[in-house]
Amino acid sequence: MTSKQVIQNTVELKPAERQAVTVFSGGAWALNSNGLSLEKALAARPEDVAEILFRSYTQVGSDMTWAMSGYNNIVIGAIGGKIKFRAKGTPDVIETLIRKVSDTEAINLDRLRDDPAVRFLLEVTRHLVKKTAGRYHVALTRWGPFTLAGLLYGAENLMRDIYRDPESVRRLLDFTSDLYLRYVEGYIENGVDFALIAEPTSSGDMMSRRHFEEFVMPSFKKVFSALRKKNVVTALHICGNIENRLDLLTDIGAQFISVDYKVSLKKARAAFNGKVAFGGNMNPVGVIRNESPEGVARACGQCLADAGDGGGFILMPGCDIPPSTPAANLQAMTEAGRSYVCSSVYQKGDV
Amino acid sequence: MSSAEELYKQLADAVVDMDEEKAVLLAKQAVSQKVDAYQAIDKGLAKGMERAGKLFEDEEYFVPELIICSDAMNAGIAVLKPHLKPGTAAARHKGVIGVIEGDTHDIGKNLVKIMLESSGFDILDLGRDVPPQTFVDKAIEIGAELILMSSLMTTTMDTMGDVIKILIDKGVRDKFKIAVGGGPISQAFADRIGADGYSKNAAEAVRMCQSLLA
Repeated sequence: MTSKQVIQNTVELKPAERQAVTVFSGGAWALNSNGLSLEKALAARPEDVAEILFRSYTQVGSDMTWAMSGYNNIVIGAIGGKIKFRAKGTPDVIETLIRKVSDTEAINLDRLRDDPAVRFLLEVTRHLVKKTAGRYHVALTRWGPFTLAGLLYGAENLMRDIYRDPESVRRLLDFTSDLYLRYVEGYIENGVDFALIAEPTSSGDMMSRRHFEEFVMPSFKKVFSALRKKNVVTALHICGNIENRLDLLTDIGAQFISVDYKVSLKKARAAFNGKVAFGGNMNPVGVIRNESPEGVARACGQCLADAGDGGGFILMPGCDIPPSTPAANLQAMTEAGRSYVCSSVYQKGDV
Repeated sequence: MSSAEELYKQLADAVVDMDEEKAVLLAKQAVSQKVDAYQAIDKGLAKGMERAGKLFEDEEYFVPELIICSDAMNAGIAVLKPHLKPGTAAARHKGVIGVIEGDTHDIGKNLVKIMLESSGFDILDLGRDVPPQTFVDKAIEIGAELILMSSLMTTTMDTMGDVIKILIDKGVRDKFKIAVGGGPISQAFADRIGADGYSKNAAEAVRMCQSLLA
């Protein structure tokens, strides 16, 4: 089985030859480790950047590759927002683009494809897909509708309007759902086959379950329903503690849910078992970056034990990894995953 | 319960109930009844914010609720502030707060600032994307006792350690208590960079800062 088949079977809740294990996101890690800031990478040759990504992920034994993760905020720049690049890490949005929801009417989504940075990212994606030669998924992680709304309008304004002007929040989420889909469309056309929505702003650390159901879930359903028609794996990652809403995530159209290290994998197994695949949740800083390779392997063992039998689980960090993460630690994680034998995952007769 | 105490309770309730109009109405009532403005803020509006913080810790309130509560508190304070008698406020601990350079996620920092100010701290907000040197310069400039930093990103959190290095190099590390917070931050991280405190949320940050300065 290729890595792609292992992941595909896992997310389809079918038996796989071995435990699936992957680096999560890691664009800044891959590029910074190779001497490139994310800004400098945009000036390099797309095929060279694709080679760095391919080599970085596969050399540490990741079952997945990621198409220019870390560039989440480029979409805001492409529609007229202001972003700032950093010597290390990822570019961020430095001011809000809209003052009121009706300002979105002036935003032309057709501009997305004209943006030089977006075109570059798509070009790198195309090269990366070619390099994987069908052996690996090429995954894409980009901000989901609620987080995009916070970036465009200001997270505090968005949170305030949940009470002050709920209808405008719904309209904004409609717009950002369309923005997400229009943006991601280009990547899918260039070969991305695993679309992961990243939603830090709708975290359980930020908003109540009631508001999550009322505002965020409809946007997930809209986006995932559209993505599923495009024949890609649909996936969601929400940062922070979401234990009080795990049950809601089995019915939003995502095939795979990635959980942060604050979520108990035992609780995730109880909520997701047999309904959707899930993954996580190695602490990206406390373990993946700071521990020794032996410490990482031990923590992986605990993760796998907590995730339990039943398959449908990908071992991975609980969130994006810091740029300074040692490759040896990622290697330790993938080795621990690949060598793990669990009766429900490894069923020779079935594969 | 005296009428003033009843009014303090109503002011606190208005904040907890996220009722800005009522907070303003009650603050105006306090002014017209010549209730001491400082007490109305301290025992009324700020007490309400403290109760909202407790609900936040208990996961009954979340960020939207805290923001609306603080809007109500601030609207009430705006009415009462012109009526504060000079010299009535107790001496307040001073601090600087900001999101470390490279990061613009400031909602958590804003909540910590609100909770600290409603608990009697004077906090200078340095904003977001703040260079380490600025934390040091501003803390020295205003005679702060506290330096508070946050980061939501694993890619920027290490820069908080640079602030401590600068303080050590200048020989002024002992003049300040330093605390850190944010999504990827932990007590272990705080220990590793040599910070004095860490808290996982805005309500806990108040107790942590109080204990650091006790």
